[in-house]
Amino acid sequence: MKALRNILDSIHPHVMPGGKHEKWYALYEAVDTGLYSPPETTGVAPHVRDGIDLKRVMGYVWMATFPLMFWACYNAGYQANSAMAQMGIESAAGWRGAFAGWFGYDHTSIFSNVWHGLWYFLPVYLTTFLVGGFIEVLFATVRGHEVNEGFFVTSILFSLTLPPTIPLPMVAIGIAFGVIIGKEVFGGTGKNFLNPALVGRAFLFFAYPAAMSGNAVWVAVDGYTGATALGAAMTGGIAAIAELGFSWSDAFLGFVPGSLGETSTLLILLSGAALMATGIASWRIVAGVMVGMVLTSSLFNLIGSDSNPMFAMPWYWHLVVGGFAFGMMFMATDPVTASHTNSGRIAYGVLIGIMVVLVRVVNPAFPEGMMLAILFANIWAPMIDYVVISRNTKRRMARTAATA
Amino acid sequence: MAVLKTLDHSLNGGLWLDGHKAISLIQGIQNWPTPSQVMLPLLDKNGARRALVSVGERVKAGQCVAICDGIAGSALHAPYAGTVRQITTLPNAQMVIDMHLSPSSEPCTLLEASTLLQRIDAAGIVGMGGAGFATARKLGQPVETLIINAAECEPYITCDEALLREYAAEVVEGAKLAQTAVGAKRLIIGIENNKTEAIEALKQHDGFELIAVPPKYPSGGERQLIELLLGVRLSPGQRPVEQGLAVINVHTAYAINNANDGRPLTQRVVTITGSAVATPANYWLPIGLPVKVVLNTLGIAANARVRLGGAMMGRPTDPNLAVIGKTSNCLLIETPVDSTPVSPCIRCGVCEPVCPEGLLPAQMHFATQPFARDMLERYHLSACIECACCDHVCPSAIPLAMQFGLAKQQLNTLKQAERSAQRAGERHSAREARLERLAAEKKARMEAKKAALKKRTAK
Repeated sequence: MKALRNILDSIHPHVMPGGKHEKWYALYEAVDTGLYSPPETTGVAPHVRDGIDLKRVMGYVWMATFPLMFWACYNAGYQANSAMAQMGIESAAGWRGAFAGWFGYDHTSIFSNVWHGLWYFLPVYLTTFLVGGFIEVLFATVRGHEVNEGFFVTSILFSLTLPPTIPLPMVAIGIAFGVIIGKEVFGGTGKNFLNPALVGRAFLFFAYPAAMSGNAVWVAVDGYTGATALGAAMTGGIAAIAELGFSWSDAFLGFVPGSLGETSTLLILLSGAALMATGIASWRIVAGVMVGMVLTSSLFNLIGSDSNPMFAMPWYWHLVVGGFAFGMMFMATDPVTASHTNSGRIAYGVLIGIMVVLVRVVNPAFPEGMMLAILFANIWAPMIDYVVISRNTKRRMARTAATA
Repeated sequence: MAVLKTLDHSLNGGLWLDGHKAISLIQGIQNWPTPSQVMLPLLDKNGARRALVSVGERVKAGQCVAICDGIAGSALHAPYAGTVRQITTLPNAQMVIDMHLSPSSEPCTLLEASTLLQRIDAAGIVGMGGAGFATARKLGQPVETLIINAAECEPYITCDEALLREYAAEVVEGAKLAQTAVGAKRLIIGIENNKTEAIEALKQHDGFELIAVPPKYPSGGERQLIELLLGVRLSPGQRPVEQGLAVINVHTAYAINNANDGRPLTQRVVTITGSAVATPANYWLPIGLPVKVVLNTLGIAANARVRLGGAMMGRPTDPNLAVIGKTSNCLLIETPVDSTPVSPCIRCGVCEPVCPEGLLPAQMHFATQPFARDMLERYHLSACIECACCDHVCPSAIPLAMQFGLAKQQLNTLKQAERSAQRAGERHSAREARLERLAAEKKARMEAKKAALKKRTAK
């Protein structure tokens, strides 16, 4: 570490204003303050300060996704290895085959599964990180900003929402679209009104539907078709999921095909609980999403339908299929794009919960309701806050009028 | 014996902060050695003063050296005998009377005024908790209830607590005088419940209600204390007098007692504390004492960072220019430390529940950058008391209170400009109307004359 510090210190004079590489200050600063606490001081009130800072907030969110990254590797490998065993394929195709098979393709071996899955998750994440990071540094350099840790969060969340077989050029285009159109054009961190990771994913979803939806993309074996639990439910309800051989506990624990990070509801709920305990994720939003989803799905259960099997899907299945849990814990709770008043947060959550079930049940075209529901609620978040604030103001005016 | 009533409920919002108060209360209030020079500030936020002395003039201790013509300002007195060396403007735009002090055996000049209010006015007493508004003007409006604010809630500051421990009798006497002056039926002393020694000292006296509030910052804010003690919430911009209330600070009450004995306000208790101070304590400092003299006398390192005021609302100050004023309650002197660099706001909203005024600091922050007047007014910027609770919890380390303070100034400047433009407009249309009227009158007179002439010639 000492050697690294010395290298950074020797670079320091060159990137300060007037130095020969001053254009690279943003990059230098990101590396330097990411690894060490900075010596620069500020002289403004207040002198005493709380212990938490933005870097730490973003760091916590990033750490909370670690179990999901692990599961992304394991489950992608597990699904692929199982499919290969089923189809009698000996080794993975394409360039990945050169590495992925070092430890065999045994779907009962954890290590073999993780290693195989790593060759799907890691390229996706690295592409996201390099392309998105390049854009981030580019904008920071041109604007004279510092690179913000928010990008670490955006990049990992974006990677975890993609199917394992997504072609890497599409990953690059998706994250570029998400960061530029979803965030930078509005002025960067804190100024965007849509979640950049979801903007990127939505772009890919509509631009390359063949690579983002359907039955062929979820298991990383060529020629294998396997629907996600949610996709199956669209056609035949719970019975169709059972036909695929998935029980509720499979879906809850995460042994089902799906996007990289969304499959294990259990791990997502645990990570989300940790985020809520540290106060970073708003429990009001999460509670609102749950309440909205439970109420709406129960309502559809009551109404019932002969032609649409999704009407009969109970709330505990909605919870474990598709991106619901992941979106609820990691996407809906993004403070920048959510409502920021306390009662507004509940309303915002409920709106997401209602919309996700609406999209899943009554819209036959898109099985992925969570992404669209959150983007929809992002747009309404400022309006919700506006209503909450106006109501508060009115109530207070009435109260002061009463006491005066 | 006053009976202590302890409140269970604390204020909405605010923070439970570590007080750092015990360190400066180990010793009693210390005297300060007579300095060789004072710089008496002519400018404060409640109005500019006019010097009554000229360069080279010999000034007696306690002599009035400057008065303020404005309504909210106060007179200024020399703390010691000496000679006026120059009347000058410092680089921070502060105008001062620079006095060289020379020892003199002459006694302090006493005030000459008949009524108590006149004596308070002549003594130059202002709200010493921070507002600096002329106390005589505040007490000139009759109210039902007078509150003495002894809830010194800001971390590090202990001057009021130290004063109460040693001079409770004088403070109570001053409070009663103020009560008489303002004609209040009720006199309440509101104090934080962790100031046990000060509460014991106050209990020895009588004739007021003693109410202890929880030590949550900012319980000692004027509006917050009123709500805690009486359950009355002032609407934004409403002054306490509109609800039949007046609030004065402990040190102000003490100064009123002094003024009643004819002594002007020339010194105050100042807490000198912080990590760069070897023995933090409270000191009697003369008004006009340069801060750099304080640093030199206490042998404090030159690179120390000085804040005038406490840890929350105090402002970083250049020690070479600052002087002790009537509202300077604390010098917080710290060795430089690393602090968090400022990051962008991510609207995490942690600033909202801590705002004691129930404002939305994050939204106001976006409205200040860039300055958006309609948005700031919609979010009631003017109701911000700049307590800096939002700063304290902000994970992005944004200096919110400072931004709001600047925006408030900007907003006031704009409003003032508008008011004067409106007045000018009114004057202009009044002049137009007057000229028109005069012209019409002249025309009418001419017509009348012409008609009379015609009549005469027709005859």
